Amino acid sequence: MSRARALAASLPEELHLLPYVAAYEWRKATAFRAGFVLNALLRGVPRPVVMTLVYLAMFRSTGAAEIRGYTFVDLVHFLVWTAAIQKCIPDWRSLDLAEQIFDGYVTKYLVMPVSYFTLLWGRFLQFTAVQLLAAAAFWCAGALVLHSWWPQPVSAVALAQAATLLALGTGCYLLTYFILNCLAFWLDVVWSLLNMFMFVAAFMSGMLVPVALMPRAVRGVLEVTFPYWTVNAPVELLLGRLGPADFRFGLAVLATSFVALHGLAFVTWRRGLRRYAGVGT
Amino acid sequence: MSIHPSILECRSVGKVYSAQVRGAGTLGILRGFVRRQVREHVALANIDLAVAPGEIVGLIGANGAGKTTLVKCLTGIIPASSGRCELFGHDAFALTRADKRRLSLVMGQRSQLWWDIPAIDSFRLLREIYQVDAARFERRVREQAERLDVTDRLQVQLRQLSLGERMKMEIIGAFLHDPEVVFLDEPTIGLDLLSQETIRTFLREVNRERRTTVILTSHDMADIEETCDRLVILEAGRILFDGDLVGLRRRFVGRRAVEVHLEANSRPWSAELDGELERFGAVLVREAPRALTFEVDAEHCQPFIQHLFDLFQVRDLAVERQPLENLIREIFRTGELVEAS
Repeated sequence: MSRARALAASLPEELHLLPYVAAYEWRKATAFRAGFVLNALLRGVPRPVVMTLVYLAMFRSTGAAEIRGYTFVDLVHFLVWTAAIQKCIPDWRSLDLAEQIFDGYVTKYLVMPVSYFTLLWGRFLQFTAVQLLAAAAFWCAGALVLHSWWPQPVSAVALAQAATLLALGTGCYLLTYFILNCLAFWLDVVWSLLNMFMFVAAFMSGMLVPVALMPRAVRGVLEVTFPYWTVNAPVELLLGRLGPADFRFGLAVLATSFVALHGLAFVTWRRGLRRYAGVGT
Repeated sequence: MSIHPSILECRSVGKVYSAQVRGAGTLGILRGFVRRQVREHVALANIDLAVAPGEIVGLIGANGAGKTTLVKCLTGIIPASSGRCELFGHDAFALTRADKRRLSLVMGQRSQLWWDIPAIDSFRLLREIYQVDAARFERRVREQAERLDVTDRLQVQLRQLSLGERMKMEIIGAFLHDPEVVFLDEPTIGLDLLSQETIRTFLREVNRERRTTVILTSHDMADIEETCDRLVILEAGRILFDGDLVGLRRRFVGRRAVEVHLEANSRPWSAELDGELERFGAVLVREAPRALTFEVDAEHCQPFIQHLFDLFQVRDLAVERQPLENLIREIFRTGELVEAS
């Protein structure tokens, strides 16, 4: 109870710090121009390009006009939206916590009067702001070049709904990566786990193949997970394939996931710290 | 040494680490894969320590003696396995934000600042974290950078600075919020003599001007001799000595190692020269064909060296402080362990 009260009392301070942490992270992110361009601007672009070629080959070889209601153009539109959305989703490189735990660099944060979660959310804020701009630039550039062929959101409401799901979903992704990074307190195979999760999450989110093309049983499972509601569902909202009832259900799934992951992240961090020995014992 | 009121205190503090033990060779690895063996390592045992505000305490010991572990327990980074560590009168592992604003930690081998951006950018974030007002922040950065001679390096990416400059930046960052207690874990490791001296001078001045309590761990006796008033020697997780540095220096640290390299035509060392050593209280500790190493009290060092020139054809000569390991061995040998605790 006293811990909860202390957390609540420190909240204004932590919120005050957020923009400063975000600004600091911005300076770190832009320290190297090539790295910034590669990480921020080109993020999420190669996969849809490759998948477009894969779909093209599939349609050409089978001669089919559509697969489960998706024409080739529908699939390309789907990929364009997933590319824009993927830009906003943190990946395993977004956090270097596991590395800091292994090398003992996390020590410095433990003596500071700041919650590590503030640093985490500050980084998230900076990342999201930059990536939203990059995603908007990507979409605008496509619209300028390809005009009416380029996918448009079916409505402003759908855009707002998709953005809401995306905001909550990216938070879930960040917390999941945080939890996996925290396993470095116990394990030395964190990078393998992060890679595995990234691949599985790409499948679950529909980044590889739209979930609508998967068997019903698989769809049923994926529709109660946060990756689906972070990528696939917002794209289908933008394409007009999902409606307000789906949005409400997705919001509930994401909100529940967010709260559960936040709790798990907090517990993992606290327990991990009790095991932490740093380096140089 | 019982000092009250203490700014930090350890009462019967122990710390035990568990480490996996793996057998050698393929079979050992396979056995370890199936059945893990864990061995406990006692890093700290029954540590009693009290430090008063404004003290500069040197914490020394060989590798694995428990210096860094003790610092980590005192700063609340790791919990003690037994006993109690207190900082500002509170359990060190449950420090409040207000407590954390009163302390600072510099780890010589772990940078506190971000590698890819200039130190001044990291200082600005620290300013917000520690709630230092803008005018005070500017003044302190300027003053400290001038003292440490790095004013023109504040805007340079940290990775492009020399080791000494980076450490100076770490120290500026650590003292930015005017902490009451500063822990420095081997701050001069790998630095050149000039940088070491600058940092020692800085620490002494800050301690004198602001009564900042400094806990300094080092392998370098010069750090301790030139900076600290009090010395705590750790060996295998226990306090071997805790007391006044002046007394210790008189008894042990005041010894010097004199290494003499002889010309080819010089007389060699022989047993009948033993008497020449006794006059100065010197001891021959190493003998090679054309090189001799003696240990002698610092106060007899100069006449002893002059006498060596009378005895031998000296080609080269070096005088060094007694190494830390010798000092610890000497304290062990003489049985003069805990002066006070």
